[in-house]
This record gives sequence, C-alpha cells and structure tokens, in this order.
Amino acid sequence: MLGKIGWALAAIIAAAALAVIATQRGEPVNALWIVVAAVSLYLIGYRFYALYIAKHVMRLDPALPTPAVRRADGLDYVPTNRYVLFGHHFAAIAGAGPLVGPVLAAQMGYLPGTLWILFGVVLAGAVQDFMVLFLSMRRDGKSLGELVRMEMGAVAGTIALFGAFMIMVIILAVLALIVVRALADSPWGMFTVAATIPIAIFMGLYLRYIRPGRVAEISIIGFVLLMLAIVFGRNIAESPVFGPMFTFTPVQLCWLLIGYGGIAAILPVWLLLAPRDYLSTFLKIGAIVALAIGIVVMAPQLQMPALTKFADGGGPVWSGNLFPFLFITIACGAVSGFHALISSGTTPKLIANERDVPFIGYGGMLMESFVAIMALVGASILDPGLYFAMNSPSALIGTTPESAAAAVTAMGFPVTPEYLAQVAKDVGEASVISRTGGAPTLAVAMAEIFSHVIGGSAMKAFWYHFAILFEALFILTAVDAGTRAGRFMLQDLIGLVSPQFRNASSLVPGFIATALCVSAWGYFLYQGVTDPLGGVNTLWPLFGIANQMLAAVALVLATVVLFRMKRHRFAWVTILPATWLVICTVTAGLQKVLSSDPAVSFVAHARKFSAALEQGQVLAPAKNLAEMQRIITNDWIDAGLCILFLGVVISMVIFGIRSIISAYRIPEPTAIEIRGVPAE
Amino acid sequence: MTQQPKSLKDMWQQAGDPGLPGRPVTLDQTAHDPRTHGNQGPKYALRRFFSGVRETANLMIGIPSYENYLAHMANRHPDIAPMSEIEFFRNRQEARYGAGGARCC
Repeated sequence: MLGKIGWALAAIIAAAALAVIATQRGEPVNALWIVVAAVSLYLIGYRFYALYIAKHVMRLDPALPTPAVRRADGLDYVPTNRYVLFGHHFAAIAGAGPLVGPVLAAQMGYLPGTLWILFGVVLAGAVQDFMVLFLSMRRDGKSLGELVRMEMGAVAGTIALFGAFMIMVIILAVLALIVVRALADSPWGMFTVAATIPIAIFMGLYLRYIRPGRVAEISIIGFVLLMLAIVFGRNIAESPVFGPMFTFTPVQLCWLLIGYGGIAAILPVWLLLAPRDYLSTFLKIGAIVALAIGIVVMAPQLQMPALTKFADGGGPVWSGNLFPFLFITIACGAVSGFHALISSGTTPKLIANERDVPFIGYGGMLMESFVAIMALVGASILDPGLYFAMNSPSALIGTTPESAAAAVTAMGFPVTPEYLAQVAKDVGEASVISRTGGAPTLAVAMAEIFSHVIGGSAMKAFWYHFAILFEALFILTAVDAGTRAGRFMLQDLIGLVSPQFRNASSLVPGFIATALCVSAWGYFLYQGVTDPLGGVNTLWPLFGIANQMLAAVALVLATVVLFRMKRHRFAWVTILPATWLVICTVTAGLQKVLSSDPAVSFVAHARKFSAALEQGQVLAPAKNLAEMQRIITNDWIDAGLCILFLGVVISMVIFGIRSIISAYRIPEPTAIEIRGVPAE
Repeated sequence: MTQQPKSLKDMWQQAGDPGLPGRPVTLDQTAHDPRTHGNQGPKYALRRFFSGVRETANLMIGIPSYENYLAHMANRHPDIAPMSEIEFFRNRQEARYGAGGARCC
C-alpha cells in the first residue's frame, strides 16, 4: 500500500515538474525542475515499463544459468555483482555523444530537447539497450553482427556489419572534429591535451615494468600530473616562446590528429591506449558525478527560452526542422544505436543472473540519458546570446566580438561585444566566437557551475580547461580504440572476400586495414575542418542519421526475435520505437538528398554550386574555383553516404519483415537460444 | 524452468542472492559472510563498500577480479597452474583492445 502511494506521488511529481518546465513563460525556470522531472520519470519508467518488459516480454528466468555461469572462465565470462557490472556497462556506453547532441539541440530552446531525451529514452533508447542485452545474453554473449546473422540470415548480418563500420567512420570523424574545434588557436587547451601523451606513456611504462598491475596508484599519479598540466598550461600559453608552439590552425590540428590516430592504433596497447583509457574513464565518471552535484548545489536558472524561433528551422547551429532533425541531433542521450554493440559486447558475458538485466540494460541507459539532461541544462543556463555566438559558424557571424555581437543580436538574442570578450577572458581563451562542436559551450557551462561551487570566478579558467581536457581525453581514447575496432571490423569484412585478411595477428593486413580506417575518417575530418560552415553542420546530422539507423536495425532484430519466440503479442514494445526511428532516419536521409533547400540537402547545395561554377562565379564561403569544386565533391560524397545509410536501413527493414512473416507462419518458436551444457 | 516469478520482489528473492554492493557473487560466499568474520559493524560495511568501489573501478577499465579468477581456477581446474597476477593483468589488457572492443561515441 505504501509502495503504491509512493509511486503515485512520483507520478504526480513528474507531471508537476513537466508542467512547470513546459508552461512557464517569461519567468526563468530553475534547472532543478528538469532534474526532478527526469529522475521521477526514470523511476516510473524503470519500475513499470522495464519490469513489464522483463516479466511479460522477455520472461526473464532467474533459474536459467547465464553464459557467465555456464561458461565461467574467470576472464571473459565472470558472474559479476550487479552494481559492479552497472558501473562497467555505464562506463562503456557513456561518451561524448550525450554531451554534444543536447548542446546542439538547445538552439531550438530547452523544451523540445528535454521532452525527447526523457520520453525517447523510456520508450526507445533504454528498450533497445535492454533488448539487445537480453538477446545477446541468451546467445552466449554474441555480437550484434552475429545475432543478426543467426536470426535473420547471412546477408542481413553482412549488411549490419557494414553499416556498423560506416557508423564507426563517421563517429570517429565527428569526434575528432569536436577536438579540432575545441583546441584550435587555444595553446592552453592544446598543451594540456598534448601533455596527456607523455603522462600516459609514463603510466604505461610504470604499469608494465615498475609496478605491474597497480592501476590505482598510477592513476592517482597520472591525475595529479594532469592537474599540474592544466595549472601550468596558462604559463605555457602566455609565454612568448612556448605559446606559439602550441597554437595550431584547424587544418594543422587535423593532420596532427590523423597522424596521431594512425600511430596510436598500431602501438602496443599497454604503452599509450590502455593507460590513457584508465585516466579518461575515471575522469569521465568523476566529472559526470561532479556535474550532477554541481547542478544540484548551484540550482541555476535556465536562460535559454523554452522554445526559440529556430524551432521552425533555419537555425545557425544546424539546419533543418524540428522533425526529423531534432531527433537526429540529440542522438545518444535518447537513443543510441552504438549501444547495441556494447550491449552485445562484454556486458552480457558478465551477467550473474537474468534478473539483473533490467537494472543494467534499461537502468544503464537511463543514466546515460541523465548525462544528456545535464548537458542540455548546461547549454541552457548560459546567456542565449553567448550560446549562439559560440555555436554559429564564423561564415555567419564573423570572428570579432563586434561582428558576432551584432549578428547574434540581429538573430533576436541581444548580447554585447564587451560581454563576449569578458567571457573569453574569464575562461582564459583568446576568443569564444564560433567555437562550434558543443564541447567548448559545455566547458563554459561546466566552468560556470564548478566555479560557483569551488573557487569562484578566479577558478573559471582552470575549470574551463579541466572540462576541455575531460572531453578531449575521452574523445582521443575513443578515436584510438575506435580505429582499432574499425580495423578489426574491416578485416572481418574484407575477410569475407579474401579469407587470409582475417588473420588478426599477421602484420600486413593489420597495417592495411588500419591505414584504410584512418584514411576513411581522416577524409571526413578534413572535409569538416575545411568546411567554411564549421563542419559540425554537415557531419553531426550524418552521424545522427547513422547512429539512429543502427538503433533501428537493433530494434528490427529484436522484433524478429520476439516473433520467432512466438511472443508477437508483445512485439509492439520494439515495433513502436523501431517504426519511429525508421520514419525519422528515412525522412532525414531523404531530405538530405531530395530537399530543395541548399541548407538542408547536399544535392541541392551541390547543384547550386555547380550552376555557379559553370558561370565562373565563386560563391561564398569558397574563395576560388578550386574550393568551389571541392565543396561540390564533398556534397556528392555526403549525399552518397546518405543514400548508402538509407539502403542499409531499408534493406534491414525488408529482411526483418520477411523473417517476421516466415516466423509467424511456423506454429512453434524458431528463435535460436543457446542454453547448452556448461562448458568443460 | 522454474515457476514464473509473480513480481519483481519474487524475482529478486527466487535465487536467494541479495546482490549487495561489494559482494562479488561468485566468490566463496563465506569469505564475505559477516558471520564468518564475526564482525557485522559499520567497519565491515565500510570495508565491503570500498572493496566494491575498487572492483567496480577495475572492471570499468576491463580488469575483472583476480581473486575470483584464482577461485575459479582452484575450483574448476585444480590441475592447471593459474596465471600470475601480472600475467592476468596483461592478458586482460590485451583482451580489452582486441577485436570487438567497441567503445561508445
């Protein structure tokens, strides 16, 4: 009885908090309302929806031994305490996506983003993670590609694998682009991020030769060194000798990153990748916890309106209307297809008991969504004028505080040049104008929140660079680890044609696959860096489409399996989000190809520039005919990529429907679960 | 197949493990059982909490519990010499970044 009252109370609190954030006009809303709405909705979603799915749709059986129990080996298959495993799973799914997407989405105001993050996660994102974890756990922890192959056939499996590889390429490019935008012309940031390389190598050598396996002590030493790098970064940046050495243009940074990615991916993992991964994982978890505490302590007011005029499209940060592009832009915080790869990776091999699955699969994604909510709150507590000055491309607002203030004020968000200059000074940067990509915006917000709690405004510059370091560190780790993972995927794919390419230990295929992988993301990175509209404009929607498309593929797979299990009565649980994601990605993909608006469609943009080129005209932002030609080529490649993604998602839907029909016709269950005998 | 649990609570209780933080479920349960330690006070709770934090931090970076590995080897493969702690650490480090080591965006 008490429990029922408690849940009714949670529902009332959620509804009240949502009503406040949705209806308050004029008066600034306190960010805590969003936090309260989020937490109560998550609790309700978990208690009622996740457990409904567990009980009726999956029929989890605590008595059924999990792969961790059946195949226990103390290494890959280890029955693990559910709280420990939750930490592992969350650390694996949390990345830059949920931080950047909501910051970009704030251009439409805080309300649309908040609603999609909250309802999207409960009905779609968390369901996807949860279902894939369940499917993989019932099949010895097999990967997404193998699951699709098992349940939908070899061709569908290959298409899914190929789709996953293309997504990896776009993710790596867009993540690297965010780092480039954050570190360009910022000697302080560049120094601290560069310092992570020798620090990580020192940690690697220590762990290998001095005190092997002592991760805790060396991580603390590494952390102290990192903090020193941030503190002394200011002196480096201000020094007339060292300052210029760490000042790079975006194009220089792009080549540095490509070179770095190639080298880092073939070095032994213990030397650079692993130790930096340790630092970045702990820093990431620590910063997320600190941000949550900071928001609660500071209880900031939201400055951004609930809805801006850009909710109808035409915004400077990214192009397109609320539908479908808001859903594409937010990506990871509401639904992330990439999680299907994690949920079919190490986590299913560590589950001790089936009843832990809702907490880890569904609960882990709720936590990720909370990170997205915090990022949205961060972007919304900034002055909207500052937000648009930081996130609009320089082609629109110029590069000086005066031009930016004038342009942003003309957009309807009044801001003075003095204020923009003061913010830059406070955070210890030369300029904050047109620092696109979301990371710098979030860093300014985090500096605002952290300095409110610790250190006051004197510490703002430190906290800004701390936040930049935190984001850059795990992005670089993702670039490095992703290049490796992409290399193995590519070896697998090429291995379908020439089997000797699959040999993971042989050097030549490894080098070739690494080089191919780096050139693939490097190409899109270079294209993004040289894009006069800032690149985020072009690449982030491509990333969003790809990511949501993979989620749709995972949900189609889950639907097929539900039919094959003869649980089609409950298949609406996955059909609902799958349909929505297919509608969003297909509409967005088609608009990117077919729309007549050059700001939205790659093809319309290419046509516009081709027409001008024939006349011998040079259109801004190109400066000469060669640049015109390059813009046109990039447009066609991006359009081709969109068509490719559309092809993947549509063919997967067709394969899915075929599998569903044939499963429906057979009276008994056809799903292939591995329950088998205990190993050894 | 056992009877379907009626509610979440049943589900939780059916297998008997309270799944408290800091209690690796596969370890010999008596090692963590307060009765065998004769200490149920806050000191024990605190120690259990910190061992849970340590285990979580290690698993976040892909290193499972070495004690658990030793226990597994002793129980299931008493005839095979287990890896040393250093070998175990290197083995897990390599495994984390091999094929299929996907990380999120």
